[in-house]
Amino acid sequence: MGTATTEFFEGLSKRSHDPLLETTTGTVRVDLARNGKVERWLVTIDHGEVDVSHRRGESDCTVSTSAELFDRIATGEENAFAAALRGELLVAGDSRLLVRLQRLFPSPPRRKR
Amino acid sequence: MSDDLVQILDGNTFVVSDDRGDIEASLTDPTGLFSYDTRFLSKWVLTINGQRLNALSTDDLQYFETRFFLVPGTGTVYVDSKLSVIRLRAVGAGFSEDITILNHEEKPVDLTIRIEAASDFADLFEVKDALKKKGVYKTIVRDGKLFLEYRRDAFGRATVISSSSPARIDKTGLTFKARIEPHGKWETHLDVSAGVSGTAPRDVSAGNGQARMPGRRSKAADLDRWLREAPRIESDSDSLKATYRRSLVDLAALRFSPPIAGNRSLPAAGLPWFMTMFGRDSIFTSLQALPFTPELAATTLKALGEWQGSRVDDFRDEDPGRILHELRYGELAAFEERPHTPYYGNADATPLFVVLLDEYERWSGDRKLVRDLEFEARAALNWIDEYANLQGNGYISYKRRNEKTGLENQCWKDSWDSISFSDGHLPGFPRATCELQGYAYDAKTRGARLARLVWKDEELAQRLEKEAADLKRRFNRDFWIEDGEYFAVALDENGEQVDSLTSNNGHLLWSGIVDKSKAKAVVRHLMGPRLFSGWGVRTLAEGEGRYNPIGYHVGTVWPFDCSFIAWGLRRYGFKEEAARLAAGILDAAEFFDGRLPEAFGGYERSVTRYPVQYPTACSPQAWSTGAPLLLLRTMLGLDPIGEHLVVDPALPNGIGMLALLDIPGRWGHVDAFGRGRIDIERALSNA
Repeated sequence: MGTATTEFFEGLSKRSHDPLLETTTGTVRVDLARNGKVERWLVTIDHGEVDVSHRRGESDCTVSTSAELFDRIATGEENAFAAALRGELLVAGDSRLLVRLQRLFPSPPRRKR
Repeated sequence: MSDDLVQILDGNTFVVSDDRGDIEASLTDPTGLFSYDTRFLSKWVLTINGQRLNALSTDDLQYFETRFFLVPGTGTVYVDSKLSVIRLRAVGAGFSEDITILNHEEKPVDLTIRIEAASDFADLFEVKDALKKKGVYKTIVRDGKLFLEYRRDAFGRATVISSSSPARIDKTGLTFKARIEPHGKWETHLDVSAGVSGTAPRDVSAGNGQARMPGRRSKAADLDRWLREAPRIESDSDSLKATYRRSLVDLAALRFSPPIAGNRSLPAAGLPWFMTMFGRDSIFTSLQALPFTPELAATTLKALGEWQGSRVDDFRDEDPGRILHELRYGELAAFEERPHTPYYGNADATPLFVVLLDEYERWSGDRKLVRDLEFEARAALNWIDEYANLQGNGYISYKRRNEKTGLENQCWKDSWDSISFSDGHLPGFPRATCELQGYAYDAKTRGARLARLVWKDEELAQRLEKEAADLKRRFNRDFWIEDGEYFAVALDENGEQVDSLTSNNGHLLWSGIVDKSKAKAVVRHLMGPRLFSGWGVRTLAEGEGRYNPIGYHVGTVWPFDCSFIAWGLRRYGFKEEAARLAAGILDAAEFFDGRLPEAFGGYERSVTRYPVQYPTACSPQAWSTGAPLLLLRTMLGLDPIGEHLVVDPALPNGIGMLALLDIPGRWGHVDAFGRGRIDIERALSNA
């Protein structure tokens, strides 16, 4: 697909073990609305071991938003927590997992605001 | 905050009203119902037959509950009312209010009871800074409820008002028609919920599926448990006992459960503006409360660890490893008109995070948490050298990258003019304030202990010890003002000493960075006439260019500051001076009914005879609430050594006897006793 979101998740699964998530365990489902369809990502974290797939499965935390917004989050242009406060990104379940996942998003492009 | 305003709170939801229970806010007025940094009610006014009510009395039953006794009338001195009105208000996810009207007459009365309601949905920052709103308002009457709504794009907030008795509801309020029989009463229950708009109000948090706040009864039970589990105090000083109890209750009130902490809570900074997670304030308060309520420290560490910086973000002044400064949930933060999602612009919380982690382990023996936070603690230690060494001189410096809405001074004295030269001029940036170097030294020293003991990394331990020793050596050379015999408050952008005399010297004692040979001279300044007011240590010494006894960080006395200075005095063996300082602050607490304000005037005690409260000080404020707790620790000389709690009392003679029973820790529970033997007048003249 070549979107920023795809690159982000593929990068995650390549890293497989991430020290940033050493003490994190849980499953996050990300539902993205893209071109009238739902693009689903299932991220399973087990003490830093990260597995990414499109499988259906139980999750501890579900994040839903538009694919456009998540593409910008995946490149660091948008901040996920601020988007959640604005109501543009919905979180259900254990929101601590989103806080953890945020650690993996890249820095924003350097520019003056 | 003016004293005639009534405040009740629960978590970060709170109500500020006048003494009748009414709210009539303007954009700049701080009354209202607030939740998650948004005002959900700006008008809430009760009238009977078109008349406003008068307050007879107000009972603060609990911090989350108030009862207003009222009578109708126009405020004349003589009140002979045939009606009594009682409003019982309790805060939850919004608030509930029971209105009871009693008819004292021999004949029935017919009444029109009216509640006017409105909301401006102001962000707390807007209330502070008087800004204009960008979204649209909507008011709906539906299903017997009044919906007040605000929307800006997908950001929606709503207040929903309902009543247990039938009411005629219009867009500006609720009207009740009641006939009350002779000596009869009329009652209704009003419910005001605050939340995210939509079909049903939900909690305004990142995890917007969070459960509702617990009810009144469970809150009362929770407060009982909180008080029961804290150590018991016995003393001949009634004032000390009252201050202790006040501190515990206020600390309970200031507990705040951020959405990410589950049901665990940590101290928010203070009412009304700071009912949120603050790195610095939460850490200092947790340190103060460790011997009393150690679970606060555990939660603070976990929550701040969760939010530790991982990116380089100029807008938020975020770096990898940096501990947050402040987190906000309101509209301005959401739309990134303010950087608090979260904002990371502080230079002290990161080393202090490691200090708290080590101190927590020393008390609790909880090595699991130290293991769980190994990554975060290492990242914090790494931040000190990798991201905070802005001048390349081996010292922590700060300079904001967000020049529009970031903080200029990123130390605890965070007002614009807090750091100055003796002649009053301000240094440039980056600035390396002295206490930051003390915290860095302490963090490295304590980090080394944790590395050796828990993480089993001898190499890291040795490196940190070497760095700490090197930092101490350089610091005592570069910051020491030879002719004045004290430490400069900072090094400026050129590495030159900023030469004013400040209370920061006391924090240096606390951190342990001061050479033993210099301690006596430092203590002479702290307890001398330029810094010591008789109540406490002034933030800036009398005689400095910017000294002002009611200047926020340039002359006032901060109880929190003094409590850490007392700890520093004990650390270097100055027991009598520590007792003297504790006595001054605890005497001041008596004038504030046990609730110390954020700051009070630096006027000489012998001149004013009572402590003058700083005009807009926050109250209660977490680290002021924690100050008496830390002073109890320093007076009793409590210190964990290995598996034991050492008690080495040094009490001022104003306290005959002090016992603290059932102090929790790795030893289970132990008691500490002390008698007041320190002649504080003599302690002062010897200094």
